[in-house]
Amino acid sequence: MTSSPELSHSQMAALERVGRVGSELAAESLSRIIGRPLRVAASSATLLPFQKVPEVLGGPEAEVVGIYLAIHGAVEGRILLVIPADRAYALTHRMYEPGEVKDADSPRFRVGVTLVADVLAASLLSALSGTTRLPLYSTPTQTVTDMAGAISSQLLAEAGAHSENVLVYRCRFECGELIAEAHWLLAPAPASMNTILEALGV
Amino acid sequence: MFNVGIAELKTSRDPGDTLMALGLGSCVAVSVYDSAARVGGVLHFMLPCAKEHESRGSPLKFADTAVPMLLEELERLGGARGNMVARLAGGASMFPNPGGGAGSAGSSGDVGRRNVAADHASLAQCGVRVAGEETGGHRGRTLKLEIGTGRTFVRSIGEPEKEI
Repeated sequence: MTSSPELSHSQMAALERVGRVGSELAAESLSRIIGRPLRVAASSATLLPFQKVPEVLGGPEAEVVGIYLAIHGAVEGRILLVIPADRAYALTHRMYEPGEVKDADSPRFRVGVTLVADVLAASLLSALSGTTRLPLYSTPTQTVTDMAGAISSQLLAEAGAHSENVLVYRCRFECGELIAEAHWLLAPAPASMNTILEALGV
Repeated sequence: MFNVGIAELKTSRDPGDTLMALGLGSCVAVSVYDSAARVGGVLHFMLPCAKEHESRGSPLKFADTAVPMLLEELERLGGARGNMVARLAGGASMFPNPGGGAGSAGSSGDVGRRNVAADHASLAQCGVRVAGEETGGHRGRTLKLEIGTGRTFVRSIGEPEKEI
């Protein structure tokens, strides 16, 4: 965990706890979907300057799957989940029998990728709602595969309008020999960050 | 090869230099080149207008404040506004309907289009002509400016690089 000038050490610790709960929820749900045990190997939270975010996601031109959702209710904001495209495809392949889906462009495979991504994205929202006990709702998710810089730009523009930093959760999952690293970017509206911190008791 | 990150600008008069803005989504990169002085620069901004926001931070985040800074930097290197030509890339809507509603004007799904419009307005106000662009749509792009030739190229995943 990294403390920041905008948030105290205890506030960052509380926000990191939300990420840990979200990671565990994601691992549980994904394990059920792919039918194999998946565990959280590492989890962290960092407040990053927005210029550094594309690098952390694998580099601005890295091909990633991004899932975007808006949060409404007691908190307004956005969540973006980013996972390297090859890792999302590898996780999705584990949902099917060997040879059942050959083509990554097939509609069936795309549905699988979206399902994996949806589960990961929704886990942070569930964790946020569960740990804060705030009523939160999300819009339907939107899933896009493209360059990491491009995928993150819309959320960074939202966050960059009122802050120089973005809250980034990183989680490393292990499923046998497969290691997948996912990042959640959380961009609450300015007043909503205070609501979250108060609900977390910090 | 120099990477121009978000809210950054870079200029050069070294003919061996290449300036690149990687992975543009709703952000816009503008390359400006003076073929007489052989100087060029690239700006990578993320929002259209500084005065829309209370907490502004770096002026290089916004088209209206960053474009004049790029042109002034090029003038310091010997460029003249009358000789400068601009080319644009980016301004996509990667997630067109982020709020789940109608995706109305002014929403974050619309920021790419507003970035492009603000860039055009700022360049026109400064007397710099736009000679080419690859903007809008729903895909990521990378822009590359070769200082030696003044040529600007754009590429996307799965597509060949093309000159604009």
